[in-house]
Amino acid sequence: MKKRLSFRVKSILLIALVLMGFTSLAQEGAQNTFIGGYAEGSYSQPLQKGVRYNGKADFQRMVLYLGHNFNDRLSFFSEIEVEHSKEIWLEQAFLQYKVIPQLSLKAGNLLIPMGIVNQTHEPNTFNGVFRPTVDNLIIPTTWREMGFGANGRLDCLGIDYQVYMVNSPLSYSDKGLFSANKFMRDARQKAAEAITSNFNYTARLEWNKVPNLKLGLSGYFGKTSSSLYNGLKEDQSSSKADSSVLGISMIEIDAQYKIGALSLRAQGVKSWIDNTSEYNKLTNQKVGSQNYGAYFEASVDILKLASIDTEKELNIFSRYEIYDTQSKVIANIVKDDKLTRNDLTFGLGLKLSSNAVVKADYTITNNKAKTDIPDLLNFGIGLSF
Amino acid sequence: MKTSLIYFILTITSLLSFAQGSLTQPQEKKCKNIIEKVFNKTGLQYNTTQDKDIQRIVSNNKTIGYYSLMNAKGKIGWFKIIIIYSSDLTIKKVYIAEYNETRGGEITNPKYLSKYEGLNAKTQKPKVDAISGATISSNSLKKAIELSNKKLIFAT
Repeated sequence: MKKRLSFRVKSILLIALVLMGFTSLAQEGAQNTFIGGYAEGSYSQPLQKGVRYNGKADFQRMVLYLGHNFNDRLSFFSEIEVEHSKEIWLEQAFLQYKVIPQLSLKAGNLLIPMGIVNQTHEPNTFNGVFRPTVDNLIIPTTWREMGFGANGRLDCLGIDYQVYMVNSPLSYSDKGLFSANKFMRDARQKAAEAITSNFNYTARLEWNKVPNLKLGLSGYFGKTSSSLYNGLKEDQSSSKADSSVLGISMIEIDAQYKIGALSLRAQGVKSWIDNTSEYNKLTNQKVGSQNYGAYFEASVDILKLASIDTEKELNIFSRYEIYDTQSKVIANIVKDDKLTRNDLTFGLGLKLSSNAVVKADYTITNNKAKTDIPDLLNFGIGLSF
Repeated sequence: MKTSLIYFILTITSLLSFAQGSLTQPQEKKCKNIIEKVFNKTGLQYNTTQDKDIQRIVSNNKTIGYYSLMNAKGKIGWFKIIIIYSSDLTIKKVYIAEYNETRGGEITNPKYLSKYEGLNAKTQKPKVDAISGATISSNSLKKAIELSNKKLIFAT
């Protein structure tokens, strides 16, 4: 018995040593190549008195991060996304070079640094089954385009900064792609053979010197691109092409604060759009000359509040959003009151670990025109790794 | 035997979640300077323990503490964490030796990291909250410190 045990122990130790050898070899690779990802799926049921609606079951996203460090300064990062179980997109893909600890340069498919959720959209980092509506209709999350620029941290000031030049949204390609109800959502080019008549500028500052308080300020400025400029000769009039382009200025502020079991989050964004009169005439759209969106959200971790010693969290939250994708109009356009909307979302999220969450919530949407809009009952799962 | 197996499992875990890293020369110099400041001593020597992530800090042939180098997962890559312990395995200092993320830079804030100081690797689990707006990095930091504590216990 003693002999057999000794042989077994020796065998296990031998296997362990061989595996450790492989492990250390693999670690050389693991130091340089990085894999991660996130995923979210949901079931959403519209509810309205006297009307029957079908629900929608969707695996919204399965995203794989793949990165590689070429050396201590040069790295690559990408997010490959399968959306709604059928579409493949590249959500980010950029080369980054660290010049000094306070300054890195990057180029490629970049996230526009606008707002909280466009940049950090892992489902375990926000409350609710779906991202806030403001981060869908005003900030067209996930908003990304080809570009280059700089980012870094000024430690003494407690400020993270990002400054990029990026290719612009496409406002015209056979038809107008900006609209009154979806603003620029359909005009994103997502680094997919993007038509570029103009480059735009975007920047963000985040102040986070005090732990648990983060204040953000973002801006986006420039003009859209249009397919009508392509092949335009010098002696040809560019007036039609000029009418198909919009000027965009967007300013956003946000704040995040956490104290004990309570987390607070607020965001406000406003856009000014130029040349809407000419654009709407050309495209038959009703794009507003201004739009806005804002939300305030509070959540409480019940398990922490009850002083239960666990890694899990049970967050009860409520979020109130106001938004209008056509808050001001000019020329002959009549403002549509149906687009002046507010959402009240409340629900809970059970974090089974810090990176995996099960969610349920209920959303009530109203508009200024007092149209009947179905409520939504949502269930979801989310994880990142 | 049991120790070997646990050590083996920890190694595998570290491969999956926290790849071992190394410091560049300037980072190593800064690390040693910080250790000297923490212990208020110069001329310190460093010996590798049976775990290559854990270094023994020796002064006049006497172990005065330990430090570990952990790589934790951020959103766009690894970041490097140094955890300095006293000889009774109490955390004396945590600092971030390298952070390349676009966001979440506030986890490098010494005021935030000081919340881990005084924690004993043998008897206490880290209970520092995630930072609002830097959830991914701060959760990863906590897990890396937990793993470092476990490695330290088995390496000493």
